[in-house]
Parts: sequence; C-alpha cells; structure tokens
Amino acid sequence: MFDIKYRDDQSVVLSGRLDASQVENARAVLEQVKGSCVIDFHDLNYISSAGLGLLLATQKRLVEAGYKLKLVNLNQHIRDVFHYAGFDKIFEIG
Amino acid sequence: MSERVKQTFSRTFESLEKIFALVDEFAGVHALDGSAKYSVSFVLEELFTNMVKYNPDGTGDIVIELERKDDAVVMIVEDHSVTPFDLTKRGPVDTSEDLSQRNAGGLGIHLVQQIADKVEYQFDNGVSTITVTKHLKG
Repeated sequence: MFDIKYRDDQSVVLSGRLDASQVENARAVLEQVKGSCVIDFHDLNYISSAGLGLLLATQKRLVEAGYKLKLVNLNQHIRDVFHYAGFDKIFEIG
Repeated sequence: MSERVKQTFSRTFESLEKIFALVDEFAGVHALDGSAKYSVSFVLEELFTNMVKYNPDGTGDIVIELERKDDAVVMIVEDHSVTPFDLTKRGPVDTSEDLSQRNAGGLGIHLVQQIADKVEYQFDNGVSTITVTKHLKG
C-alpha cells in the first residue's frame, strides 16, 4: 500500500511502499511541485530504484529552476539505500 | 513454509504485491530481521522488473525461488524464452557524479550488487537464471 499527499504547507508526505508499480502515482503528485519542498519519509517503509529515479528527476528539475528538495525522517534501511546510490550527496537529508 | 519456496509470477508490475507477500511470509517463517527483509524485497523487485522491462521476447511467467541456507538467503529468479542478458557484466554506476551528470540508468542493478554478497548469472537453453546470495547478520 502506497500513499502520497501534497499538503497545503507545500510539503509532501509519503507512506507505505514506493515500488515500481506505484511510481506513476507518485510522479503525478511530484510533478505538481514547483518550488523547494520537504518530503517526509516518516511513514515510508520501502523504496526501490524506481522511486529513487523519480526523486532524482524531480531534484534535477527543481535545481535547474533554483529550488531543491529536502528529505526528512528516512528510516535506516532507506538511508542505507540512499548511501549505496550516492544520493546522500545530491539530496539534503534531515 | 519449508526451507525452500518457489512461485511463478505474471510478467507485469502488478505482480510485485504478490512477490512482497511471498517475502513477508518467508521472512516470518525464517525470523528475518527488518534489514534482511528489505534486502530480499529490494533484490527481487529489481531483478523481476528488470526482466519485465528488458526481456521483450519473454512470454512466460517469471519464476522466483527463495531458500534459507544456513546463515544466508538465496534468491533465484528465472526467465524463460529470452535472449541472454548478463547483469553481472554491467559496469558500476559512478555514484560520485554531480546531480547534473547523474541519471537513473543501471541504478537498480548497481544497488543489487551493493546489497548482495554474491550475484551469479547463468544462461542455458533460452533460460536466464540469476542467483543472489545475501548473508544474514549474526
């Protein structure tokens, strides 16, 4: 089960499991993000390369426009995946 | 659930939910911790989706086998009627590149190689078999 919410305060909240079968649902929401944005991973249990690719594309689009993503509340497993991917160097992780 | 389980899955991303259910059950029976369960789910998703995306000639179901072997989990993913695609021959992704140079191509297989302790590829009679071993932490 995966869910993504774009809140009134311009932050995004992810929950559940972001796998390849859910990435288009996530893309539809992240494409609405037009400025710097905090993405809360608190309730996200799992992400695969499909989700990482989407975050990378979103970060590239925002940085080119002078903005960026900040990712918060990543669990240890997801932090490990970000580290293996080198994503801890291209995202601000809080 | 016995030491070894084997199931077939339709070549569609919708099968992922069933694959994760298999991993959940296997993890419960073998008391895998959260880290091991994440690793098994991740490896199986990446290998399965890779076969769905890049073996366009494949027509049959994809077979997944999970086995607990002493201090390791062995994952075997088998695809029939395909052309050879040896993922172990792929070069590593340069994870030190700047954001502007990074792209997501090859990232999934790169991560499988990082997470796994051993990745083996075999092609025989039109069947691709990838065997991944992940040791469990003591």
